Amino acid sequence: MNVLTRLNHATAKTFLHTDSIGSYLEPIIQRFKPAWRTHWFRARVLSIKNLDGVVELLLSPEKHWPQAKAGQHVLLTLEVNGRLMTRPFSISSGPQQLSNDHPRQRSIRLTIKVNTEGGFTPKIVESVLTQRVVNISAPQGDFVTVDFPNNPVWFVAAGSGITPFLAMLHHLAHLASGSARSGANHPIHLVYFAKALEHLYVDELLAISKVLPQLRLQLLVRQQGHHLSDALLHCDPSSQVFVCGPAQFKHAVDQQLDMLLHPQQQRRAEYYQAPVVAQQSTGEHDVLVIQRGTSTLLTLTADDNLLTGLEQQGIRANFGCRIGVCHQCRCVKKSGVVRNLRTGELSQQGEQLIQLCISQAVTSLELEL
Amino acid sequence: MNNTINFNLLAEELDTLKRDTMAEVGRQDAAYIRNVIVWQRVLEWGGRALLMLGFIHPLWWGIGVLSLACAKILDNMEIGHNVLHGQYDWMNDPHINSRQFDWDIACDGKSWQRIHNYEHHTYTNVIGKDRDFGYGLLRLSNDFGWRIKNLWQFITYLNLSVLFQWGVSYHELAAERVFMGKKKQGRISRVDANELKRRFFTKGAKQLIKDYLVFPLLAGPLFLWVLLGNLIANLLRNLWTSTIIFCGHFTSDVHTFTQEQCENETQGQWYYRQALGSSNISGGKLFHILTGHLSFQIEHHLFPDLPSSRYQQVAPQVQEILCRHGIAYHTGPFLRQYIQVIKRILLYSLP
Repeated sequence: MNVLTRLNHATAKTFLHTDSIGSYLEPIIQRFKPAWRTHWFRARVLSIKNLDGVVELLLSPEKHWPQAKAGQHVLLTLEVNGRLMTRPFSISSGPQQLSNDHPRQRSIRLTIKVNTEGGFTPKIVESVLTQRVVNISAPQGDFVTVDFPNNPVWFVAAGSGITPFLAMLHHLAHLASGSARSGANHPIHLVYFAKALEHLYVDELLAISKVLPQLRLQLLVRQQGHHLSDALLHCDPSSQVFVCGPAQFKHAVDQQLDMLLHPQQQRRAEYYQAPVVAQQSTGEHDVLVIQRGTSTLLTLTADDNLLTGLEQQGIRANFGCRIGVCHQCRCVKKSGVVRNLRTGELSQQGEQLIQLCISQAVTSLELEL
Repeated sequence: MNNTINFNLLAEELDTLKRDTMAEVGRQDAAYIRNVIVWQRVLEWGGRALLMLGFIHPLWWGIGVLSLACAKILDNMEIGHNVLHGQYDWMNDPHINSRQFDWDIACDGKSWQRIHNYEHHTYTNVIGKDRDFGYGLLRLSNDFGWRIKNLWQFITYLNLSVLFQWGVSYHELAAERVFMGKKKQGRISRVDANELKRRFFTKGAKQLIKDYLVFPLLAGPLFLWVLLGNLIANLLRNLWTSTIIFCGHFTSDVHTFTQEQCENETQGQWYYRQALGSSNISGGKLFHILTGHLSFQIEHHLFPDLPSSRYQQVAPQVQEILCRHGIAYHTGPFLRQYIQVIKRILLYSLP
């Protein structure tokens, strides 16, 4: 933290009772700059296309938004009927659109599958039409490829999991077109599963393959008898594998790669949906919840994440993405052990910050919300 | 408890009203609270600036004092009290929520939450459990034995009003100390006495330094004008909040309850006690906002986490439901309610 930031915090805490001068002024600044928020960047909505079951958002980020690397994602925050909601989405724009050389001409493309039963995606269109300005985080994540791979690269996508690979392929194509090194290039495989006629951006992929001759495209449909085992058959252990799609898909790819003796450290994955709960946690645990000075003792069944468990018992907690990304459901665990559902790790016994949505009770707990 | 009332039906009707109203809460309510916050900021800094123009004409200074007092009242009542109750937590806003918010008053927000939200709102007007009934200083019903100090309790009341922010701050601190080691069922003190004392002194010191040292110093030669202005603004805020709060629970019709009456209380009986333990003040829209909607004390006590922006809307329906069940709905204009409070304080100062 630099001196200015500290001064800002100290001044705000002493004189304004807020954590920063910005957060004190936020409601006023929002009058002139809609959706101005201290925690996030602003992005103007350039266009919104409502394709079949998929929404494509084109955003123009503000000048200070950092340079994104191909394959990274942002947290998108919308105000849905007065309530701020946050979800992560991969950026699918190419390098020309993201280049910092002309910060004002950048555009971020997010391609979002609409889950009609979800709480967020069905409201995007309505919310964006009323707002025109949304909030995004800095680009984040290490789901990125090296510029000139030394080994074969495999991109394995399912459904809207194609988005980070589009960014990566645009990036690699851009490098290839401007470089003399293309001769030594290793093959790049794209294994892309989707329902029949639901593959996204096929034209764009075909256009890329013209610039990037080493790209091997496989557009596959499971219902038409295409199998992962066939698609990945020639994936040798030296390959770098990137997987993006639903959690079950990621597990299926892992199993297949394990059989092919492909080493785990050569893989990277980005997957969505709350991870499946580990089998061994069952039974019930006492959870003491301290909220706004009130203590409540609850009994939670262990086979749910804490956020869902608490909500089912009528406790309202702050939350955002519900998949462990945005840290809005962060709270203080005073004591007890939780399992991190993303990593499977067990926590320490003592006090620490945990995220409710990806934590599961292993022992009795004491939480301060 | 009254046996002629169908408590289950009462609970069902009030629960339905709450659920239906909560379902309507949304964009409009978020815009409302942000709007109030904007007004608070404008009044505060407008006021602080005007305090320095006293040398042009004292009238500017006077307007500045009123403006600053209004800002503090909005901050404490409509914003602070309600946000700290968690009424706007559904917005998921990183700043406007009960975890982050602190207010412009000597009492530390977290300490207040611990006692007020839990003790006062759960055990409203239960003698021996709700220390807010008389604040341990005043005898306001025959449930308490008479002591010699009650003779001059009207003076005590005036002192409390003048120093209300410090009274509140001390009250919330003492509570934890009283309950230390004496755990009541379902209640667990989690913060140790030293932490509470630290919070009491740091928050109090911050307020003193801010209003009586730093801002006056910034005014340079106008040091005294600003110091006096801040002092009066704080005083006005103290008197206003204290007066409104006293009207909420200490008018002549308000009931008190014994601990036995509340054992194994059902939701309906809880609603019944909340309704009879509170009283409203009638008035205009602006008046309600300046009271932080505590002029809808009955509605607030029935639904403490319903956004204050909805109290005016639900009030007629609450009144209708209560009347139909034969439960009194205490309300009246400010002066009438306040005279009742004064009478009550005087009445019980004698044995």
